Amino acid sequence: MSTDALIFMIVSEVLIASITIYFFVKVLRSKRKFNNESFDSLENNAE
Amino acid sequence: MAVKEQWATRVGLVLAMAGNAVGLGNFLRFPVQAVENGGGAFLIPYFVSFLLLGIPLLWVEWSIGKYGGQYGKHTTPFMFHQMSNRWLWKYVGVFGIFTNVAIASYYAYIESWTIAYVYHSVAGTFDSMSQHEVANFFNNYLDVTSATTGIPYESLVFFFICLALNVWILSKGLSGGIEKVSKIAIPLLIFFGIFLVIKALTLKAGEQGAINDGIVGLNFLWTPQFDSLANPKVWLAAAGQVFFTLSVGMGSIQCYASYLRKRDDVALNGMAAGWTNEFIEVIIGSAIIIPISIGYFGIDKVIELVQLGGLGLGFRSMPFLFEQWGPVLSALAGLAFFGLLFFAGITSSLAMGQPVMAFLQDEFKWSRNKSAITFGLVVLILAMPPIFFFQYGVFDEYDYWAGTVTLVVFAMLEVILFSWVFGINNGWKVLTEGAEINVPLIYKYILKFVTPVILIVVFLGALIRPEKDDWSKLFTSKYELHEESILGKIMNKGIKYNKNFFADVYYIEFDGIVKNVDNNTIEVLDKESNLHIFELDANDKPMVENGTEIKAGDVLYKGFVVNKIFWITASRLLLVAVFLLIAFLVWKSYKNQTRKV
Repeated sequence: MSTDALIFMIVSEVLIASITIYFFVKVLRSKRKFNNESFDSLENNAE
Repeated sequence: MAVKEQWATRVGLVLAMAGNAVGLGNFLRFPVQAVENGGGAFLIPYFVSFLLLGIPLLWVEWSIGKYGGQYGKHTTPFMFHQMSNRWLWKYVGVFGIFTNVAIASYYAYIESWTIAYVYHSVAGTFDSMSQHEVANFFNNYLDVTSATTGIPYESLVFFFICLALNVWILSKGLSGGIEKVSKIAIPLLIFFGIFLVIKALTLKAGEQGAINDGIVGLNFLWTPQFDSLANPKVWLAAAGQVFFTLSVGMGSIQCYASYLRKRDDVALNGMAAGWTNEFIEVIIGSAIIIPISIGYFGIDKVIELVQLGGLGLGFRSMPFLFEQWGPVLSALAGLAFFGLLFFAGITSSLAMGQPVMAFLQDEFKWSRNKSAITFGLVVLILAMPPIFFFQYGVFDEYDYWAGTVTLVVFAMLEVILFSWVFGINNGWKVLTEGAEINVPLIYKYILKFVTPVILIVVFLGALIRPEKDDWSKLFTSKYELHEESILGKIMNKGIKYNKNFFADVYYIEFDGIVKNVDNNTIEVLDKESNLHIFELDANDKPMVENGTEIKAGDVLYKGFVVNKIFWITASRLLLVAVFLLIAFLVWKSYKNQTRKV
């Protein structure tokens, strides 16, 4: 395999795998947040 | 009675969203796009597009969904109306129901091919078939009227099975159906994918008929051609790939997100689902069909095959390649490959069903079962034209208008609604409220300026795409529209000679050589060695003989001809009628609501 191809493949795949695992682990670990703020404070354009 | 739906678990929601995004395109479209657009260098515009187009659109759609859900709105017409009470927006939102119905009608058909191919792989149907026979098997499979694959009306039988399965899962509800299926399908899909990647990368030249190591294909796909980066076509292709792989512009993400609770996170969930799709597409999707097919066919043949697109490569060639591994491994590989495609397909088709279910449940107070069955029936009816008139281009028309153009138009308008009409400050608040990651502030500006501009450019690029993708001629007198451009399609530029709906003569549309003429068919080989079969009726009279060299515009046969342009126009009108019908239902439902208020 050529060096260019190998570098592109490894950099892209390691980057994607790391980011995916990071976000997925964060989802698995986090607890649902609850706060009291609602969307009522938004400027609502609807009738 | 309508039932209040909700996701049972957060990971279930993320997997369902990832399943929505992961489709057949991850395995069949992405590698072909990479090969055709600069190899490894394609990943540069691909990542740029993901950062500037993909991530913002994911956040926009998750946020719109969560916002609409707080007001009990689960479909885009009513979500958009909640964001702006101008009458136009709820009709823009109609696209978010229309595309799902229209795409599901041909997507579920493709999905059903994967079930059929799993069956035939395990049953050993492909054993000892030549590559030509495997390719012909696919052609015969698609020819509903003369199915010669062993089961009468086989493609219809598998389509009914596939559709029934979708309806049954949808009828089980969000957490009891879609979420449960996603939790099983995505891990299994990854497992099947890893099995095939290992098999592909351990291919050795000289073993089991392989002419190249598996790594040769990987090298071919990843070798960067940096000069391709100067070509606007490559950037448009990358933006298109990112756009279509994430299943944005459809209304399904908004629908799934609308079942979130008021203070749930969307920023992290959106990232987790989006990056899971990228993981499956780039890491697994790039390492299956190209390395295996180059292992057996060589690079030149694969370059020729990718012109047919990923579907052609997947269904016409892969069973033959798996055969080389012996009966047991080929059955396992067929099960893994088409099983993987099936799981990718069903998690997407379920996501297309949910907005329609939600529309019927919310607006007409129908039960889950009634809504699911209605969705199934509508898809069944709409699927008949692409199934029965596949060879007349009806399938491609559905895919072009409902599965391509409307998605871009819808996404472009929804970003404008979110960032400019609803207001970026309001949108930002919805996005960041409850967010479990810090959303970089720069995205506020990307959402407001960059993403809408990219989408407008992508839309204009598709509208006036030049012939041979040669953008250098854009402002010159030599500029010609590509036949696949939106304007070229509307003007039927792909059809040069048979421009009447009905005629008594059929003209050939390309140069070629007549290979066979009998009372039922004329077979013509084109310059790219593709065989075209023209079926004749009893009263048709062939005007060519075996071995005749023919040029585009020559008469092929005489007799009563219903030209392709008739079927194409009819399918476009049908799609317009479906859109108008949904718009009418939205208007009626809105009237009922305002009357009650």
